[in-house]
Amino acid sequence: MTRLKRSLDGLASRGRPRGAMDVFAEASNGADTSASPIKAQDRPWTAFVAAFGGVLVLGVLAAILLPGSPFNPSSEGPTLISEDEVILLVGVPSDTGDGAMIYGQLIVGEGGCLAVTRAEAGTFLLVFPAGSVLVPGAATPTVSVPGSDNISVGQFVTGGGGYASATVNNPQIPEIPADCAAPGSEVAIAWTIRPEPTTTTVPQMATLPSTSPGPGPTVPQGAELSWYDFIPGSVQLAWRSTATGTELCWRTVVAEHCVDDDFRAPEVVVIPHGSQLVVISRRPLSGLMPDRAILELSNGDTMNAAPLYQGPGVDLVYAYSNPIPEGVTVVSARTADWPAPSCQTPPSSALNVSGSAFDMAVSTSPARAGQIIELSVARSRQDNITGIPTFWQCWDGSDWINTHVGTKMSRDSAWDPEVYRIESGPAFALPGIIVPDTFRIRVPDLPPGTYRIEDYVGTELGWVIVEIED
Amino acid sequence: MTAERFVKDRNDNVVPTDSRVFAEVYPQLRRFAAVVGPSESDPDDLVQDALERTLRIHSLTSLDNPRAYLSRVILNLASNQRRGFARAKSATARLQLDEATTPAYPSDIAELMRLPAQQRAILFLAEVEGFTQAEIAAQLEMTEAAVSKASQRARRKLSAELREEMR
Repeated sequence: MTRLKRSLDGLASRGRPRGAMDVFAEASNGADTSASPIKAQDRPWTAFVAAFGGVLVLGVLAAILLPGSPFNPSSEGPTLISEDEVILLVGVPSDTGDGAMIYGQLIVGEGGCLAVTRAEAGTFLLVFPAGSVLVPGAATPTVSVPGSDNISVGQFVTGGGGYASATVNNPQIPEIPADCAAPGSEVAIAWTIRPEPTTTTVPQMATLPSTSPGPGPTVPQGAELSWYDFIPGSVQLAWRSTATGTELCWRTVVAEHCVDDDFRAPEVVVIPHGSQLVVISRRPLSGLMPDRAILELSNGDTMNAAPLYQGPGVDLVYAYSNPIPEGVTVVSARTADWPAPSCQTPPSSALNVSGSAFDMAVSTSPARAGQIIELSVARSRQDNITGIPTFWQCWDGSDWINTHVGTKMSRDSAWDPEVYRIESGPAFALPGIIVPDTFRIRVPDLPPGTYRIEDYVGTELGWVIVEIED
Repeated sequence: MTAERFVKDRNDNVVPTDSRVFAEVYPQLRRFAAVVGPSESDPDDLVQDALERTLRIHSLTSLDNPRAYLSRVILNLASNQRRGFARAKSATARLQLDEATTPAYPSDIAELMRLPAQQRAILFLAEVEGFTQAEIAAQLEMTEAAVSKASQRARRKLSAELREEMR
């Protein structure tokens, strides 16, 4: 492998993948990522190791014992070293710098594999830097890492590298024994790793020492906070449990405050930074990352805060860098909505419904914004299932673009139909419903004009034109 | 609940859905996003934004080559983000924050990150993914000549250490 290829490959592996289904769910309708629909049986590799795990372990161990094995620790390839029921995974050499942060406590994890764990993020199998070996005869499993002090189980470690799915074949890491890879587990691939000093020796702020190299554990109510430098030299963050949930605490050299940690764009937390402000938030469950935060000041001014930084634990940070006048306070703050699409009157050619793959009709057109009307779908497609959801569209000058997503209700549903802005609103959907059928839908709050409703039956696309009047 | 279009045909066979199509191309897209995106951005955010923009106007199942289409959207977003993060760095400077707030990617990675997103994309698709120039041109909707020119330009910008090991 050339150095260029290796560097590009390392770059491609940066960060910690969220997984296809989580990304898809967030992109398509803002589903809670904790409810990822991925099942173990949907991961072919996982199913394979579950079925043939024992054989795999025997095969790997046999390979270790064989002379000239590719798992020989002195080789340049990824290696697996097993000693006294402890398994050390060792990666390939890398000179691509620190990459993503890896930190936590070294433990003997599932199946005897060494792993790193931290309270707020869970446990990751740990692949050590190339050349690492287990120290023979140590009372506690100990790893000798080139260029670092020895690291023993129980110690806190910090380093850099990347994260990868254990279920994806990765040439940078050895084949992972089935017993070590729980469904959905992830691997931290360390290019550098070292033990954490037992005391904090290099505080970032002379009067405000941090106590954690990264986002620390959520400490119990009343316990000492584990502060880390969110913006070094300026803002530290920590988390702790409360009777009702979790608090996020921030502190600067002049102030300290805790807020309910359950916030997400458009909600923000404003942190005074001298005469300036730092605004933090989290990406919305659905929708694009807001491009700015909006602050309303007590003097009547409205200010925009520009994106500043994406940090661990809180992923959106905006800064309002112009000094706030003395005596002026912030009366409200939120992230900005994305601008509404620029809708235009569609040309007559765009109103042609002959291209629709099936018949659709609305009970009322023109209709009023907010009115509930009936949408009939595909009377000619009996026994097919109409999908979810229905899209409300406007003409942007060159194409029909989605403005709202509508949830469809069955005839027996007691719920009111609803529509949501695509960019910012949460959306949910119902299972497919057999057509032909008629659904109640709510006309979105849009100005008078000509719009289109688009829906799917099977994989085919249909649409109907609808007018909104005053 | 998700808005997956879980649909069956009249024979009760599950037909391709957007989420299934996306799951197939996600690993490659994420790696691509990690390469072309600014170091400050999360590759998954880039993929998610690209998917979201695409789903607003297309079903993935309606695209001839969803991977290529999404790659182009990712590349466009990455180029825009690069300009956005330049503004963010300017804001950082105004706040006089510590330089350490910006993630550091030393050595070869830093060198690659100085290249424009499109040039990184072309190097990645050629060196790591093994695509031919014709395939890269099709994927990024460029001419082969433009791909060749951008590739040469990118390689000229890299240090001698990286260049001399190139094939």
